[in-house]
Amino acid sequence: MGKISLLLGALAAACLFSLAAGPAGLAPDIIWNLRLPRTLAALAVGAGLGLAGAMFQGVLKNPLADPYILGTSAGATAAAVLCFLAGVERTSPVFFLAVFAGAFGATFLSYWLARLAGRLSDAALVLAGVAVSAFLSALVMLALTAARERSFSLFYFVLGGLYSAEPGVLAVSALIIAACGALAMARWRALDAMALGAEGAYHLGVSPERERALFFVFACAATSAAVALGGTIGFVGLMTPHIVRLLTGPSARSLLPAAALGGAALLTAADAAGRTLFSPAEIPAGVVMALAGAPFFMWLLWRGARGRA
Amino acid sequence: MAKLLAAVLLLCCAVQARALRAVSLLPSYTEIIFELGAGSDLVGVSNFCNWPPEAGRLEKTGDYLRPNIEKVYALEPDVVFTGAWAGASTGKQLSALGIKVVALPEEKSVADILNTVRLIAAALGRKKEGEALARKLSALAPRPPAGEPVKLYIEVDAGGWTTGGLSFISDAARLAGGRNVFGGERRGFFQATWEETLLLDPEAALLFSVTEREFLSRPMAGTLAAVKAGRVITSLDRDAFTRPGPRLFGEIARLRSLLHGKN
Repeated sequence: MGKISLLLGALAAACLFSLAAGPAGLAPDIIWNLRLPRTLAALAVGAGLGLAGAMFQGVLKNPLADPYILGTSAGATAAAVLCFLAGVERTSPVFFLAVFAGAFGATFLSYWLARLAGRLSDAALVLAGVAVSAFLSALVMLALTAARERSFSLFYFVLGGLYSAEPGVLAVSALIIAACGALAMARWRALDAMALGAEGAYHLGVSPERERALFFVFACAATSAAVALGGTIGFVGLMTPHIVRLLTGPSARSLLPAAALGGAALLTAADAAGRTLFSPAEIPAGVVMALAGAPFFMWLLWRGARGRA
Repeated sequence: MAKLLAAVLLLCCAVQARALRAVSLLPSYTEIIFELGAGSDLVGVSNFCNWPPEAGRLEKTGDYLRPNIEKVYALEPDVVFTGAWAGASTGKQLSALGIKVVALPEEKSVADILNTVRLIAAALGRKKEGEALARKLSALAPRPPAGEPVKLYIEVDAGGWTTGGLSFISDAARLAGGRNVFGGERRGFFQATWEETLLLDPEAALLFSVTEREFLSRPMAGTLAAVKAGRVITSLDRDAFTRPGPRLFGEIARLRSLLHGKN
């Protein structure tokens, strides 16, 4: 219980930081109209990415899995950029469907490629994800080069940030992420069973293929809602489950909600830092997360290598 | 008859000597060259050179930071105009191929643009035309109008991308009777936080890539003095205002009349 309150404390501190820090000081209308919507957006995006990371890592039994590494975010971003170029409004259902299709397609492609190698190894999955992400990022760059007029604002979207979240997009995204969280929580036993491996899960009466497909859908939906709101933000999904697992232990029952809370706290703090450290200039939250997250990824690899030696 | 032939020959030689083969790697240089009446000297321009319309029909050499060096070489230019920015290797690469390169310093003020005009004119052997053009342009925006400058927010690209004091755009705003609210920042382009923009409370907003509707939908945009006074300006030409070229001077005059009325 003490560990959960630690997490809630971190979340409260991040929210306080995000609501209180800024050049206008504690002006109530700035807090209410400006910082509150932005804090809510950071909370939603962070929770969505944290959840997606926990689901991917659980269902794939892979500590390196996350929406950024697997190509999920790149797929969602590519679809979003194509929508912008085609003139699809960010609030229309078509936009959300397209972004989800991009996320799911890219993730499935990475998974399928990794499976081609036979046994699904950590390295094969990361390699496949990198290949898919690289190709999709190249497509996005090609689109940006072609669309010179709007390329700057699109580039900004690709960097990932929460400069001005539209209330409509915020509401829909938050709803999708909450629904994914609830649906995943309803199946936490299946996710725990998957941790025993396909055979172990089968003996517990869980169909591994079915569960894998379901959790892929939930994780991709959460990621695409996060991307629709904040662009490509990496490493939240990777870092959060590892950090909160130290507090909650491995069971999905407590890991999933903790990952949502932890991701929300992490991204809210990162966004607030990016907005206040070099004021009046703003560092996009995606850049702040990459600065913090890439060394974390290196540490994971180093620790993994030491574990095997 | 012989005399006539000699005269024609002489004329041909003169024309031959006159016709330089020039390549411009920046849209602003291309516009200056056409304005100098030397558009016919150009044999190649960057992919971004879209003004005047004739420039769009010339051979393209790629984007300006990394032009296609082989393409430039194949055009057999007598002179190539490029920017002398920190880290730019284009000039060095072209010089190594034996091509004459005129690397022009980055323009940080409106006066720097007139300097560029003179340098380009000199390199094309059109010093007189250069002087005339510089005089004509500075007459369009001689000095800031009398009276208090208008506090101005300039958004070049969506998402709060604005400019600090180290850019000709900030100086152009000054000549138009505005004062860039971020002019105190010792930098060029940067992304400003919306909260800081709200705090600085500009009296006018000059937007180049968002619509007025998008701008007004930002949180608390309605509280800005610029919005209350109805001074959200989206009518100026983005290319003309954000390129350090001859069209900027006309835009300065237009901004001046928008901020201070007809003078």
